[in-house]
Amino acid sequence: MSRRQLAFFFSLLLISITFLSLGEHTKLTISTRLSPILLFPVTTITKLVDFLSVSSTRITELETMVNRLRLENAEWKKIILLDTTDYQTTEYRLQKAQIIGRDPSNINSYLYINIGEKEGVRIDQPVLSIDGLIGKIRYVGNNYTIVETIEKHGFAASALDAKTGIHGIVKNHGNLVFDFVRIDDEINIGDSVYTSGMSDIFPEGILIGTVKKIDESDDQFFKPVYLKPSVRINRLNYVYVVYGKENN
Amino acid sequence: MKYLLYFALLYVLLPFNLYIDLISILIFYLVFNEDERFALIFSFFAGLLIDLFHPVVLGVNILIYVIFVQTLLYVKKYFKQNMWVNWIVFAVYYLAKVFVTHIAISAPVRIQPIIFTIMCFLPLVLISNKIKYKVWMRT
Repeated sequence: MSRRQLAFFFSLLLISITFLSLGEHTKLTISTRLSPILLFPVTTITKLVDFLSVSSTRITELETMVNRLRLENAEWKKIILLDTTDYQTTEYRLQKAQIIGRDPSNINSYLYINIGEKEGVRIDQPVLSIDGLIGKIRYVGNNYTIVETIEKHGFAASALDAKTGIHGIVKNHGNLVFDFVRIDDEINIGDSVYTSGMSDIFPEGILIGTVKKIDESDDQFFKPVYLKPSVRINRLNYVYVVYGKENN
Repeated sequence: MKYLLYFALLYVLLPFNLYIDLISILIFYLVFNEDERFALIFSFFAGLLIDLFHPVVLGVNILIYVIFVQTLLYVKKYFKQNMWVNWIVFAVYYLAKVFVTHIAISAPVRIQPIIFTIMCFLPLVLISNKIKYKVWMRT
């Protein structure tokens, strides 16, 4: 092997390692800039194939509808059992998506799913599974999407305790914590916490988790309530992206 | 001209790469039949396109392809090429690639595309050789 070729190999190796060592934001910026240029031919081909595969699209639509009905059915079962929330899934449409990757540096914080801009996905759309809330859309590419999960440090959603109706904010401070529960509020271990719908992002009635620990607090107003997430993110293969009225 | 054709082929195969990894077959074919430096550039570009089209971590596929192609370029002179040897080497190379990708990015291992890819390798290489060199297998 010539020295020249070896030098050539090491320069390519260096470029790839440089790409790998970049920060997540820089990687996203580079991907966003390069994708439309380098993937232009393949995007055109994909669009053509999409146009030709009408029947396959129909099958996918029907599959999505079946999945939506299954999910609705499961949610209604929960509502019948708890009878605490006025949950209206008919306003929303669900799109099934496969998880195609995870960020190795934050294995459960970001998920990569196989639908994107061409399926009409938008930033901040909620993402859930049959067991409850997973997160929201953080970045939308042409044919993929990055989901920020509830296990990402700093993730927040307005929530309420289904049993007592206490409102608060579920936030990830390393653990999932139900914030702003007052010292004198009655909340018990095992209570289910749902999204309250008091935000533009998450519709009401999506299960976030159950209360696993309530700490004594030095704070004179609020006590820390720890939640166990309803979804095991590391075991998921599929998720559902929620399309609201405006997305439909 | 033929190099342009390879790049065009890369674009055509890219959307189907999740179902059957024809790009790996193409790269393997180039390593044994084309200029070594072109094979390296092509593997780099293929890795970059895969990273952009099926993104997980930008750079991972580039790194894996470049290292694997360089390894193949290095070891190819140590064995005599024939149909079965090539097939076995490809199977080992491809399984190693899948394994490394799985370790590197926790990508789900899907058995069906792996089997399809390994099964399709031999017929595709034979047909390509017949079209290009008028023989089934170059030795």
